[in-house]
Amino acid sequence: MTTRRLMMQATVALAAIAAVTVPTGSAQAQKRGGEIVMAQQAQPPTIDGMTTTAQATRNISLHIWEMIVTRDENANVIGDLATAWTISPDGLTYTFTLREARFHNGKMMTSADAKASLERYGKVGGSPFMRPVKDMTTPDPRTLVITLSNPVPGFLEQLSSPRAPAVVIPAEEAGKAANQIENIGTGPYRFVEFRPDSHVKLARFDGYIQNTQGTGRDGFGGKKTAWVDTITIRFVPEGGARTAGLQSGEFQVLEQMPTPTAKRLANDRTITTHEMMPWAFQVFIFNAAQAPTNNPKVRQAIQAAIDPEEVMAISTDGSYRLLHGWQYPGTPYFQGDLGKENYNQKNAAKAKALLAEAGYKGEELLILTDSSFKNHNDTAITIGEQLKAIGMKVNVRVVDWPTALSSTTKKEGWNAWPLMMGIEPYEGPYNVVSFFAGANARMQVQDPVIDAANQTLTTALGLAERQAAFGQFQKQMMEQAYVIKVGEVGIFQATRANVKGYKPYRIPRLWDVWVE
Amino acid sequence: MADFAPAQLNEAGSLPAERFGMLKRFMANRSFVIGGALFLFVVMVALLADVIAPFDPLRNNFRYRLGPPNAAHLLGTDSFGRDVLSRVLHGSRVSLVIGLLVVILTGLFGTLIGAVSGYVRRLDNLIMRIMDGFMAFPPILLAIAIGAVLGPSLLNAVIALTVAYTPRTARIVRASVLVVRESEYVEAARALGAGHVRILFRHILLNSLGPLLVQLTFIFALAILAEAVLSFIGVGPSPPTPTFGNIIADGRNYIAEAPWITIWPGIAIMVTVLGLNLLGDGLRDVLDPRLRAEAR
Amino acid sequence: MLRYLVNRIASASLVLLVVSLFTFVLIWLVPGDVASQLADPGASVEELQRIRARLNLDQPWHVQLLSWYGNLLRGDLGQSFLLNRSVTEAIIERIPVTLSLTLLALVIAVVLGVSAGIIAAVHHGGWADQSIMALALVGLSIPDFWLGLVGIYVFAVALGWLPSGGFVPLLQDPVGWARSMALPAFTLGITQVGLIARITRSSMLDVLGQDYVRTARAKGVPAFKVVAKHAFANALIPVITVTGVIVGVLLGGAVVIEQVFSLPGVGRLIIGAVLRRDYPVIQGGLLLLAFIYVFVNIIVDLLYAYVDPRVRYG
Repeated sequence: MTTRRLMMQATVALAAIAAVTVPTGSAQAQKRGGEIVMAQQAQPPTIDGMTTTAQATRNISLHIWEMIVTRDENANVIGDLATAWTISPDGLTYTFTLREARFHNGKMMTSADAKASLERYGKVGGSPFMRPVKDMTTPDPRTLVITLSNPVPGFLEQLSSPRAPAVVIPAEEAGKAANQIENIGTGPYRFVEFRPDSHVKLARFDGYIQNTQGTGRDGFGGKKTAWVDTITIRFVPEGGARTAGLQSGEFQVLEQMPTPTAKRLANDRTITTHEMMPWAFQVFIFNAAQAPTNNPKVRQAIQAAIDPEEVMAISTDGSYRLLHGWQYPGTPYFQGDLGKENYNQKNAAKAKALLAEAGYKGEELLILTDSSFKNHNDTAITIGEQLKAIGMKVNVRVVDWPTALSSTTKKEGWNAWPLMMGIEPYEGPYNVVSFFAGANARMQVQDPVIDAANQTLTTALGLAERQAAFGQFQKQMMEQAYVIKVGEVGIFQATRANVKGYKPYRIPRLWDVWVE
Repeated sequence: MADFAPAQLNEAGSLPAERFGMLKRFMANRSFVIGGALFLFVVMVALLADVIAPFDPLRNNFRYRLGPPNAAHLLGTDSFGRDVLSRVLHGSRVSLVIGLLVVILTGLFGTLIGAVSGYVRRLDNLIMRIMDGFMAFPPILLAIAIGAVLGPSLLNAVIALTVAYTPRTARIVRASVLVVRESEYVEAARALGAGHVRILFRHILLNSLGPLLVQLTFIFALAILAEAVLSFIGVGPSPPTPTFGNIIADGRNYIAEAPWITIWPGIAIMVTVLGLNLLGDGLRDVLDPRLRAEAR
Repeated sequence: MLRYLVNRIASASLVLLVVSLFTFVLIWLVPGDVASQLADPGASVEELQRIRARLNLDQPWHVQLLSWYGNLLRGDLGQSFLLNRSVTEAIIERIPVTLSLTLLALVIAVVLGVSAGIIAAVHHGGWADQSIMALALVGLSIPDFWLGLVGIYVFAVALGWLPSGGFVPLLQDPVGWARSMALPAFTLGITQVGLIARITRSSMLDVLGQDYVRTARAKGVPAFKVVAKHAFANALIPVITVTGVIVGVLLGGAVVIEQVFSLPGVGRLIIGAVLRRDYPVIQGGLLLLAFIYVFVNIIVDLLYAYVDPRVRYG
């Protein structure tokens, strides 16, 4: 109650400032005002952005809060609240220069807020990347110095990742437990309300201070402009209901539209569809600790048997591309054709020979999957049918997502598990490799080659060295067939035709978007 | 709707003493005949699914995904390119098996619990309070919660639905036991020195069979409806197993592009449940003359 | 009477104890936890463990059981893991939605069902009777969630007349409320029309067969008047009796309909909590539902005793 009153006072106080900061029109005829209702399938588990790696939260939280460094349109690291930074030659000291920013309660942001936010991240943050941080100091209100205990070449990548975004909150909120903060940020939209199973409402923050370094929207950073008055994010689990709502004009933006619907509506002039390719990896992870998939020959047989095109066509409804690499083309760690000979073989004879060599005698292959993600479910079922065709005994067990996730972190009770990895390849190589390295490697065995590659990747300061390490990882993954990368998944987002300026990205960004 | 069938309004009742001309009375009952025919039709389809289904219900064909009905696929194909007709035909088999198992288990446990509760007075209060505990929620909610715990599989769906519907059956059996227990012929049996077990099974339960049978027919119908709901929520038998509910769940995301996936299994459910409801009406008319007025 | 009341409350408490133990066992047995919701699908094991530690999910079960009962005794049902509010708040804010849906569906079912039942009874044996009774049975056999999907397809997708889902509070926008409720309430209500029609018809037939109605007819009172004045009121009694049962059925159906139409009601709250492993909401929600059920039953029984002097409790 008190906060609401505080917010209202702040809003009143900011009315004057608003008059100054009204963005002046550019070449395009942007229009201020109006509202946007976006429908998304999942409801966010929390609004407290830094505490969760969940996609449904990111979609919302990155409108409210901003990060010190973030990612641009091509996922490279750029400044957001930081305008510049330097890294000491030993790779231990990061010095950030912060820009002017104003919180939704009217308070100006300082380096103390940034420090307090990162300290909170260390306690309740969704990712463990603050662990190597030894010390943080704030020599002046515009400077934040972070000192690491050992060099971590991927530190900026982690700090800038939207995975569980390291957003800056007011220092007064930073002592609070996860999910207990007032949702006050420096972003272009401010939080209004959260009604579970219904919606989240945001309103334009008229006191927003833009990043003047940028020229326009750029990834999660750049110069952001809020045009519409309010944004409502509605949680609509039924796909058909989301589409119907978009068609009737009830919703203006769909975070995701089923591919067949997007194709059907391609000629509908009231709706614009936007393809986002690539969106994620579709992978098929083996449990290398449990028979029969503890035998590399059995895994290689499955690798040889799979027809990735059928799997991808069915699981993505036709929005896919067939690529074997463990990074996207055009990114620094992309490995070209390395390991390609093991991909898309569709070689039943080879598969059967490998099975015979492995001494496979009809042991059951238990594919565990979940009904919460259609792609997972369809991948499991399609691969299951393909493996039956080479004479394997397959049992596809479909459980709910919490069960699948907890079961697949165990060494028994499953042989294979399909997973869409979305944010990890977007972030770069680090969380892709670490997922399969160390004591918690998700194929349930530790592979010395992969562990060594992970070690080099996370400690070597030279880019070439790290790239080579990533190559070793990819080669080992393909040869040992711990995991089959089936292909790359694309998604469709959709907007009403009167929504202008929309560009699909990792999350649907509703700044620099206006309604005609 | 999935929770209620006409017979549940009346929990007590007794079998008519005379059984003479029973068959004749069944055959003269229009509900029984039509319902029986419909149900028999569904049973035959389920039994012959292997023979009459044009395709393997699990066979994917990604080159003809979401295909509209044509000469080869009379009811079109789903998002895996599987033949919807074949899946519906095979789905009837799975759905009927689930219904039948739920009926058998519910009948068994319901009778046991209801009989003990009605006959052994000291346990009555405790047992009925536990049953009340289970009945404090809509059965479908209970089944979903149990289904989530056990994980989706055919057997688990059966267990979940059995737990959900047993308390109601137990209540009905208990009510008839209470009535029959005080009847003259049970008194007579007791006077002749019959043991408790013999009285319970030979005299009391046999005479509670009528209402139980009627109730079980409706539970069969409810179980088929409830299976569809469980699959729809994602806690039913594991896909790709074709069940009516799974096919609808597969089709829900494509309702505008490929409505045939959703529509046909729904109609199949309707036919099956209608058959069972008619059959139940007919059974009640004949077995339970006290209630005959209702379906006049 | 007082002794009866004490007895009822004692056994009600027993029921609630059974329910609370049942839900605890349920949660204890269910695999997976809420960390799966607070993390990206590709989250690392370490990221998952951070979340579990934060929520005390790594505590042994008896500690969790004791702390839950401890809080319960203080009247605290706990805090949702995911909804940013207390369990009590979460449930209270959902009740209007479920109530709107259930009551509207009840009105639809009663109005349509009673009218159909009367028409069928008045034309007893004729084609109207036969087709109404056939339709009633078909209605009882339709899966409601499927009807909802078909309804969305026809009225929201194809025709665009009604919203496809979502809830608009009555006080905020009455027209929006009616539009948002129309399709779900109709879907839910239509499945009970058949039942009410059947009951209305048979009780109407009973009443129409009674001596006083025959007398009225013999005296030359017009058929319409007989039905309206004499038969209708009396025939309604059994319908009113089953209304309680039907409300229960509709509440059960609402669980699924809320899911289909994305309505933020109590059923969706609890199913969502089960599927997302929001333990406090599962425990608190189920207990509160059972509490409401048990005490509504006691009140109904007391009302019966008050209204109907033949019913006496010892």
